[in-house]
Amino acid sequence: MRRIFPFVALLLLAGLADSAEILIKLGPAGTTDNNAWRRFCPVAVKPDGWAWGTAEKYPNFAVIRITDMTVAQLEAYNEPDIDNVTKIQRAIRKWKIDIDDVALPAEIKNTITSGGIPSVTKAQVINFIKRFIP
Amino acid sequence: MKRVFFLILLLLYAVESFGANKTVTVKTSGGDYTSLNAALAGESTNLVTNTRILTIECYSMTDTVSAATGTGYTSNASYYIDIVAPEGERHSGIWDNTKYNLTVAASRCLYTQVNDIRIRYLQLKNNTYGGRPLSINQATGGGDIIVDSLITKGDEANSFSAIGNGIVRNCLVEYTFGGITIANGSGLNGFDYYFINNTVIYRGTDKSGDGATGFWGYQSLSNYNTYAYNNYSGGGMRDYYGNYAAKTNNASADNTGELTFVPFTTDNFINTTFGTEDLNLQSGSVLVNAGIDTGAYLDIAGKTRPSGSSFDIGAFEYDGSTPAGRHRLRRIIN
Repeated sequence: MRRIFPFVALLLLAGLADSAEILIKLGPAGTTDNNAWRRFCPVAVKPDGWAWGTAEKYPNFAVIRITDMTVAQLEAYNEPDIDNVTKIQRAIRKWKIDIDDVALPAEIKNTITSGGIPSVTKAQVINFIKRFIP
Repeated sequence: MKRVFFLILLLLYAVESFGANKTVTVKTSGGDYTSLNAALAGESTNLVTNTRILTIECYSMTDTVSAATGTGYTSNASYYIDIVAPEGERHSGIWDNTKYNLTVAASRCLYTQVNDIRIRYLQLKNNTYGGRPLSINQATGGGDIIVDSLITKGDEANSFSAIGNGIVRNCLVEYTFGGITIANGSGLNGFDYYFINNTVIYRGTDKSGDGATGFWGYQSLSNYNTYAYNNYSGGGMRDYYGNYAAKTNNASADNTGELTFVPFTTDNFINTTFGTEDLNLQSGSVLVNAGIDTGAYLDIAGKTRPSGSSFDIGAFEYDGSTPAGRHRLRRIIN
């Protein structure tokens, strides 16, 4: 038993280290300007268990915990869309996370709309992470 | 009775929504937001309709999220965004990891696309090659920009793609490619940009090409004016470059200032070692009392200008008690 415990602890720590949370802008659909903050824009990525601010919550924001992605991996979805050649920003974000997609599992959506933080795997949400400019 | 109560509630809501300035906080815990970026993304953007100054107070923390206003904000000279480290939470003119600092590895630390904004007492560090600490792009023309008492470190310049009026004062800038550069964003004319009492230091080793320029002014034939007063720029391939409507009492380590060949050494500054620098002026520096009155009566550390017979050059005013520790001690005592 004593031998197993360190392995279990290590696995738990490894699991925690691979988790990250992403803050997503919600609110009304509003503008169609690609360089303005819009619904579904990722806004910040933080480690699992982050103490979000009092305004960083539903209905203005959603938080999703991705259990099998690190902060560094998730940061790739939180970048502006900058033209490689001209270096001009084409859109405030390269990706959006579409939580209005009808295929999003109801339990994930219900958790968000009730102010909770759903814990999901990358596979569960990857289809709802879409290019900001299609 | 119920109707009256409802009307009062409605009135209170209206007063809260319109006609009231708003202050939000960025803190590691217990604040409205945990990053400046979330504050900019989360607030109502039509400041003019809401007749609101949006103040974003940045408390002591290291913020690692690259921040952007986006283009959605509507502002004017009366209703604008004010991003500020509040009193008691500000750096003393020396980089301080315990105070608010926006430290990222991205294309920009802070990118603003709003016409009217004030950015004060922040520390911005960009750890990416080619990354800018601050990039200001006035969205639609007009507007007023005030950048005051920032410490910025990064490779690329703090850039102002400006189509409005602006003041950049009391800033400490460390760069390897560009310090403070301005370009007319759209060909609109009739605006004025002022660079006042900044200290801009080159920190790289390669001055090749067009790089390593401390200040890069812009001047068109159609009344688009850049002015530079009381600045120090040292160590670049060109400490000052470009065109200016007026440029006086600026010092340089090369021959591009009005006060020339002023080296970036401890003859003029307290500590010039990268990482532990203290750019308070040294006793006996030629920069002391070498400036003019530009209307900037506080320095980066909150000391009153002028202290001696005239205004000093650079972000710090020398008051005879140079070591920064003594300034901090005095503030604590006060």
